[in-house]
Amino acid sequence: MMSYKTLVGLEIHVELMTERKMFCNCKNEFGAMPNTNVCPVCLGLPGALPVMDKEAVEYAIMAGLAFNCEIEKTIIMDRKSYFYPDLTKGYQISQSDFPLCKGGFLEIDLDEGPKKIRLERIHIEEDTGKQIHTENGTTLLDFNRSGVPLIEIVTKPDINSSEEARLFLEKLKNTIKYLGVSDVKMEEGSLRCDVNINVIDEERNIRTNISEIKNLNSFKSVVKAIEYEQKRHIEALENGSNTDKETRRFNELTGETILMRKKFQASDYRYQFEADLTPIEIKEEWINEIRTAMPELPDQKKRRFMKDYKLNEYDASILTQSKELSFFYEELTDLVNDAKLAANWVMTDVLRRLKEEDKELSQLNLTPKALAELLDYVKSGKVNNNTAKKVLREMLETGESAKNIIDKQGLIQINDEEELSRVIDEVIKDNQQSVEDFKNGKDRALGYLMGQIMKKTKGKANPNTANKMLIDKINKN
Amino acid sequence: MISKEEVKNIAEIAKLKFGEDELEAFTEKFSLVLDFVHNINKVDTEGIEPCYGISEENGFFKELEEEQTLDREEVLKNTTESEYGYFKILKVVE
Repeated sequence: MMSYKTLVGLEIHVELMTERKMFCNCKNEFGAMPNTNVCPVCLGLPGALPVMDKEAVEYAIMAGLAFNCEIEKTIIMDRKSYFYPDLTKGYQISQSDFPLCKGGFLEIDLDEGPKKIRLERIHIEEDTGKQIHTENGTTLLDFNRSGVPLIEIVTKPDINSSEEARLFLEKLKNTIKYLGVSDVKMEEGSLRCDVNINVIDEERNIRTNISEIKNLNSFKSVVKAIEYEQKRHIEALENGSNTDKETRRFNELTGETILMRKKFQASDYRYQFEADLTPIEIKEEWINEIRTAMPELPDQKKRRFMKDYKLNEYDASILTQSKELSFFYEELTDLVNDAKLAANWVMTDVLRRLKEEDKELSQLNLTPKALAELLDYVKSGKVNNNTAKKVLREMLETGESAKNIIDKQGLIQINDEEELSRVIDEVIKDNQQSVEDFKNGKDRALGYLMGQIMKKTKGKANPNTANKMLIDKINKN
Repeated sequence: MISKEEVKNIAEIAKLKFGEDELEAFTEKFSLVLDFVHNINKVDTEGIEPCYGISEENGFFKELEEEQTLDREEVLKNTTESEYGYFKILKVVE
């Protein structure tokens, strides 16, 4: 049996949500009318000079600190030269030898325990313009994106499967969301990912040449592309051949990768120092200020949830998986004052709903306050659990409050023993056969009798009380 | 002496086109230029710190002053063709 090991490294571009662009004062906004946030700097007009945006550097340092990187003491920018229509200057202002952040890592949770994925670097650079290819042989260019600040995060080839890649990307996306430096939307291009992959035959100590995969528009595509390439590389090894060092494009429709173009050598980019930007020293105090102002990160929040709310590790990681969900949960818990009850409802009913409808929390018709109102009824025993689930469903569909639905439909639980006693007596009288069956050891008959009680009370009977009273009455019979 | 292959590669990167007949002469001239520039390697730089700019002063960040964003008409003024507010060019796919 041959043993193969897959090595995957990721290059991730993240657009930073600064107010202004990286080297000029044009607005940095997504979705504006084409070419309306453009100035001589964005267009690379002769004589236009770039000046560094402080917020962009601050956001990049924040990301560096969140991913445990070492922060460079001086900002030195380089020109990366190549000709392409979306890059009017003929070079992209980027970083080569002195990335702003070096090293670092991000930990992912595998079944066998946590695994560190090491980072090579995080550097800062400007985005290019956007091209739209039309059906009739033309390309349309919009330079609103030109000069938008980016960070490029480069991992070491520590990722060994498509699943690890997915977990890494999800953790990275979530961490950046918590930081609030980007909205990390793959569909809007504020998060972009390229894959570098090769396979080692560990017995024969042969490795395939690295393929770089581009045009990955979703985490699903990343997973599929890695699986496709893994197979292609292993086939090459089994045929005694090798893959070429090349750039390939993922085709979403077929799930295959196809050869894109000859791989550019790093030297082809003729990196040179960007003399229009004088190096800027980064003071230790500034880094400390940024560190102090950083929001809580997913792992910190998870540990705090376990400690403050006495949640187990599994529940705490689910509830901190997205920033929105963690805030929702925390607000709900504060209102209901019952961490366990809140966790149960968020993890079952709320998450199930999101999954069923393939929605984000913000798209759901539900605030923590509205859910808290419903949970107060559950906590005080005024509404039973099953009825409450039905009320939630109705709240989501109609947008009505829990109180309105419960009042209108008279759903307050019947705890009154006299009233329950009357209903139970009726049910026993009308269902003698089931009563006999239960006495003869058929447990299912009890369920049927409970069902009849619920039917008569329109689901409002307190199930625990009714159940106890029913058994007592049958035994006394 | 630079090889013809290297010259071809550089021409491709620089988006220059010339015929096979010009290649010979161009390679020779290119080599002369490189030889001349190589003189700089004769300077002894032992123990000299790399220089990343001519200014001694520390660089600075941008002031958040008024944006210099142009009107779209102004942006598109120098292009021969535009459509729906975009620059329009012949399709480029590499």
